[in-house]
Amino acid sequence: MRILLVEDDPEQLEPLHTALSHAGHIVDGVERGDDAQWLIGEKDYDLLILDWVIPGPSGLSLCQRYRQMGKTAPVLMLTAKDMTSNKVTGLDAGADDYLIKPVDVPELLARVRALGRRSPLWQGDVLSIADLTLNVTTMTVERRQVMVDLSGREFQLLEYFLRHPQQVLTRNQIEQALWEWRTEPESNAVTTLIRRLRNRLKGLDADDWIETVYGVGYRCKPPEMG
Amino acid sequence: MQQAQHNGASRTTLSLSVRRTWRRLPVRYRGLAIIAIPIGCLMTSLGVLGWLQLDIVEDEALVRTAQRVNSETTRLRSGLAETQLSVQSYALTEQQRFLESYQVASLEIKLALEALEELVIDTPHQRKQIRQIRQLTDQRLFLMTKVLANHDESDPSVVLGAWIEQSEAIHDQAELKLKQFAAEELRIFDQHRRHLEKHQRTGILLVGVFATVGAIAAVLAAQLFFQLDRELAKRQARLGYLNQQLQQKNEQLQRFAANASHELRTPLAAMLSNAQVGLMAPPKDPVQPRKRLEKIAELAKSMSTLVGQLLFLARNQRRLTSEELTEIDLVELLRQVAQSYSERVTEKKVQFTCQLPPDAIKLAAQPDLLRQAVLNLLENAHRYTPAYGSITLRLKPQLKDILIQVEDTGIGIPPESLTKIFEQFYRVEQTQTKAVKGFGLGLAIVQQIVQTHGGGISVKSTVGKGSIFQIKLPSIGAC
Repeated sequence: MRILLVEDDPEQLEPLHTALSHAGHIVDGVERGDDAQWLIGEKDYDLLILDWVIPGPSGLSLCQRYRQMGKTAPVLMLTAKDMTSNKVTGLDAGADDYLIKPVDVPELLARVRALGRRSPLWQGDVLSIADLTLNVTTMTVERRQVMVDLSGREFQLLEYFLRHPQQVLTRNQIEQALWEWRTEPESNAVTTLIRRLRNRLKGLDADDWIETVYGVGYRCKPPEMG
Repeated sequence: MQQAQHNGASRTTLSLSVRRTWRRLPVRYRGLAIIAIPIGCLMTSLGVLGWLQLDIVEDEALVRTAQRVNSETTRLRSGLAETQLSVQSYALTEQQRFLESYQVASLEIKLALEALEELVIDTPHQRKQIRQIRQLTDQRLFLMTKVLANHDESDPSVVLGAWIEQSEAIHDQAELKLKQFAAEELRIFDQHRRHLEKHQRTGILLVGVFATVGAIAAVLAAQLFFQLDRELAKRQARLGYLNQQLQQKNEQLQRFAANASHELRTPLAAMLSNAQVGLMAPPKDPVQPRKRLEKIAELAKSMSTLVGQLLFLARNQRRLTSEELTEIDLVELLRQVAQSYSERVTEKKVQFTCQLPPDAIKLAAQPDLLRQAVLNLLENAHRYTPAYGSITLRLKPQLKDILIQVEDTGIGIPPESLTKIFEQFYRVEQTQTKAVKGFGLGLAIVQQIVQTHGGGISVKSTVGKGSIFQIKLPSIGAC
């Protein structure tokens, strides 16, 4: 999932960012409310994780504006405000879930998964194409009783291909989808990542499923469908 | 003259001390006294009036007795004269009616004597007089009876002449006794009356005195009531003020507790996240958990600093007593602080100058606390002064105070923040500058230290140009 994580304390932002990335999400982490406001206008996110007290517009008003924009992606409030009245205010402002700091990382990840399931695009914990299955919870890919672990990036790439089967995806599209805001992938980053994914898929005898369309980009095309 | 003045002064001090003692009495005793004074006066006046009334009743009884004694005496005298006349007339004319009138008169005499005896029963002397009068009267009556019994046998003129002489003599004696008796009675009566008049005068005087005292006491009581009322109002106002102060203090404490818990929770949250993310790393990756551990250690250290600062603020709140202060040389102390500070300052390319007077300046202080305060000011200046700026530490002894100044060419403080910077956990919002680390307790600690030494702290600042913090401490002579 593409997640916007807003947390003003860099000491707390960094480990949460890492944990969510390792769980296979693409995370844009920002410390200020105004940056977050600009990003929710520019990009589409599958989930917003907002701290309440941040410089610039507060997490609460960000949540309200987000809903006013007509966006429906789930919002998780993450704050030290632990009074019941605070929770009520937060949830009434349009948040879907409310977590109190100090946050338990496994719990945060579980809640993020739970909120992901609520999305209308959710297709279960697995994505499949032909006889190849990708488990989004365990980040494993399986074919004919053979299972292979994927790294975060590899998983994100495969997930992106499986969500857009048969489509030719340009390098630029892949960069936009996989790389976080403000990070500049190296020029051959996509090529390297494609090679790494093909190497993984070799264990499943499916390395030729990722097809290079010369001069345009790549396409996921199982042989049976061709 | 001097004596009079002295007397006047001692009276004033006396009245002052009486007033003070009175004010110190609990309200219930004062209230009792206020009620007791007029009621006491009223009761005493009533008593005196009752006593006067009794006196008047007694007086009237006495007058009545005197009147009766007077009338009975007259009756006795006329009776005596009547008997004399009746006997003489009877002896001469032998008419029965004179005998009858004699008998009536002698009965009158008997009755009058009995009445008189009854009236003077309380005065023994008068009783004796009456007894003598009775004897004389009896003698005369006996003589008359003899005359009446014998007047047939002898020559009436001779017998009558002798009897008249004898009777006249007894009559004169009785008359004399009666006069004496009446005079004595008058004297007693006069004495009684004088006595009574004196009593009445005293009584009226007493009533007057008590009425005046009562009136004064009533006025006093009213005044005291007003005074009590005023005192109660004052006390209530004071209680209200105290209550307000307590509320303020309580709010301040609540704010402090909320801020402190938030500040403690923030590093705690970061520590927990780092630990959990470190634990989630794959076993073959030794680098990431190590980095996380380093982060946790760093966070724990900063948390420990925060806890230390919070404890410092909680422990050093009251003004230091003279026993806790030691005499130090402030110049030497600042020189040491400057030296240790200049070692740290070089890395940031900030120019540090120290302007201290050549001679020692003695000051009563706790050196550790004072050192901490100056160091906090220097660190604060350092934190907000960009590279190639300058920081100056100055010591200016004045007539009554000693001024310690820390001047920097840093980013300055906006005017709306100037009053708040000494509050705990207050940090000026940093919009353009890089995130400045710190808990917002440094200046609060400086202020507290300076206040425990009986001094004060002030700040002047221009945004973009720099700030001057000034500690003002009382010099030894001024204390």
